[in-house]
Amino acid sequence: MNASILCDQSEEFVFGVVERFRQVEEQLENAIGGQIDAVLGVNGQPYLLRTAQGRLLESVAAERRASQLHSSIINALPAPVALLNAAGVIVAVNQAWTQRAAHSRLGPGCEVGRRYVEVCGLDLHATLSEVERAQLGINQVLIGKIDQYTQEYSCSSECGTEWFKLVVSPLQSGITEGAVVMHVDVTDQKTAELESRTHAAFPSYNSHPVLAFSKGGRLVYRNRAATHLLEEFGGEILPADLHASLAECLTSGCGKLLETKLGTRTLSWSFQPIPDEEIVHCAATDVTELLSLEAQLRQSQKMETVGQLAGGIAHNFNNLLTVVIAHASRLSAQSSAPEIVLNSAARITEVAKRAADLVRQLLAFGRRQVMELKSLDLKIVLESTATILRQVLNADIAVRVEWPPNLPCVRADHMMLEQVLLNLAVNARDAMPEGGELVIRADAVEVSTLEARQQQGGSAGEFVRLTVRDTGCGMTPDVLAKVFEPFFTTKDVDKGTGLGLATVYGIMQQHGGWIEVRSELGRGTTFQIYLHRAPAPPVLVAEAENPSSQPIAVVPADARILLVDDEPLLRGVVIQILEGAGYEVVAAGSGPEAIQCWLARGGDINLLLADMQMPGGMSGRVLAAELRRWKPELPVILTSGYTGEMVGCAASLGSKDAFLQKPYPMEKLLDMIRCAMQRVDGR
Amino acid sequence: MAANSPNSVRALTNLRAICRNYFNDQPQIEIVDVLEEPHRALADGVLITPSVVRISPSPPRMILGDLSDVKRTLVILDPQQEVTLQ
Repeated sequence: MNASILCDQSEEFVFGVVERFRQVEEQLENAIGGQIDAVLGVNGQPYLLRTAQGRLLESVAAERRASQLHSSIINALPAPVALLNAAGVIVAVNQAWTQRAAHSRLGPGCEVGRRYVEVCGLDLHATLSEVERAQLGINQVLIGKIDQYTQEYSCSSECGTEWFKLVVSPLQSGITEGAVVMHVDVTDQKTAELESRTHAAFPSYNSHPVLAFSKGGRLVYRNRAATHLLEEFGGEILPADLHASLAECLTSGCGKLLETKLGTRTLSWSFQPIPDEEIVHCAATDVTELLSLEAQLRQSQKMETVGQLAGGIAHNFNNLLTVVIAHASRLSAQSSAPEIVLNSAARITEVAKRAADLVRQLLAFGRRQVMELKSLDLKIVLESTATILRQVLNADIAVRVEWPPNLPCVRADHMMLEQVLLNLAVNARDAMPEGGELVIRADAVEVSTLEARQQQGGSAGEFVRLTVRDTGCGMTPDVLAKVFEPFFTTKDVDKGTGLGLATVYGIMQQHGGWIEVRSELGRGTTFQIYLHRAPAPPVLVAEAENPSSQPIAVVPADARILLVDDEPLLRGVVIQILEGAGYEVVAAGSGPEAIQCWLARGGDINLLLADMQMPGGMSGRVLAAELRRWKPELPVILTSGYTGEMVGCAASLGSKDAFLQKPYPMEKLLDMIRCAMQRVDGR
Repeated sequence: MAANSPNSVRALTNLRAICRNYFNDQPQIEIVDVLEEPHRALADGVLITPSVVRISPSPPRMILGDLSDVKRTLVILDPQQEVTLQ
């Protein structure tokens, strides 16, 4: 029977058949209690009962809705997800998986139906052992042995290394069983972890101690350096008022610097609050060396200032002493004067010379003494000094002078070095009123950078060391700290000037060397001076001819001298002396004035005697150069009480120039004038 | 079973629970969907779903419905065994 035939039957017939059908269904349901879904005809044709049909349709629709919902959720996941059946074969994948597969060696759309492990090995560049581990994990989830399996792995491509986390969970849906496999990209997390590990290494491997304290003072972090320090010294390394400082930092939100003493060392702590975490970071630096350098710098600046001051005073003082000496020598020259006058003049000359010595020492300290550095054989200096010392020192002081064979030469000024040794020896003598031993020793040493840094003015390299050691009373640390300061003395007022060691200090600085001192009360004092070695052995040069030993030339009657000095008192007395000696003198107070005098005389001047420093912007040297433009053969004598500019500048003086250090005896001035004139005449 | 019809799904769930709770998961269950394999069902004399046919041990026994009556189900499946019902 087909549908068209059925439609031809009468309406009554159709209703009757349907009614019978309904009654049969009802009887069936009544018989079995509404628990059946389908019946089979004898020909094997299954018939689904109406109620079951309706419910099945509903459940199919509901399943479809749920399935759509689930696939939306799964597709929304950014991570590639695959569903595996019980055999580990991929039955479905989400969009993220499809997209990833499309860009992989696998190609799009060919992953479904393949075993997951093959795909994973191909696609994710995983190593064999990683694939094997994954296989094992997935199997355990598939057989229900574990609830979840995770595994991290990395894969490298031209874009860099990516990190993934494989998450396998069991899948139970109705009668099918399998697993959900998800690949979560954890590259960002891994990179951040790596970065944070790298950052954590900074404090951890820092060679300075780093600690962190909580608000309550609990130690929450310490690096290796801090651990070592804490093991060695314990809590001593921290500032005493730690808790107060921590609280203060956190309250104010500002950092704080603190210092702690650790035996002879000093630690500088920097406290930095991190208010959000309520902790304080504390980092320490060992500043011992820095503090010592600071102290050295302060001391050296002080000495420099005092030196400049002393040099300045000496300059003016030398001018005045020249006047004093000149007047005294004029008095002495008066043979008709009463004896008392001559005696006084002699005393004035003597005292003025002593004053000049004092000034010379001041200049040496202020490093303004004219210095002649040359390669010097120390043995000669030591021998001559030893001879003097044995004569000068009391018999109860034994003098021992030692040097090794092959002692290198030094770069030094002979006279100055002798002065250094004498000053140190005198100091030693005064420290040994009861007698003792004075040892002067020379040896060649090499100074490392580290050793050099510990000494004021020290430098690394090869040196010759001169040691002057006494067995005297020694010095207290207080005295030791001030020993090189000028005018500092422990001797009675009339016994010491306080310039001896200051002079030694100045001379050593001028030589580019330095001096070290060690002393112990009651045991004695050791001074050590370091001099640069000289590259070449000294060349013996015949001593310069002493002008005074030359036969006195006849002074030409018409010899005219241009005298230029800004000190009127000095001008006055020098004019008198020179005129007394038969010269005609033209005097000027400055360079420009001297040029006017020159022009007024039409250049008829035989010698220029000029001070090197004068107000008015023209020095003696510049003046000499100006005048030589008109008269190149003009003899010049330059004088100065302030000879700093002479150091290293001697070469710039012309061969016709002579230099006369103030204060000078009048005889020496006259000698030099004669000598200069004679040289010109001899040409 | 007739696909995922409500009574059929209920019957399967109940059968699994009974196997787990009273037979220590020992019985092997074969599932036949009559909508897909009607002749396979007829071969075992099944005319109505859901039905459970105990094939072994013989003689075969059959039970109809969603198996919600656990006591009756147990009696039919294993009349020899004395089962204490909760």
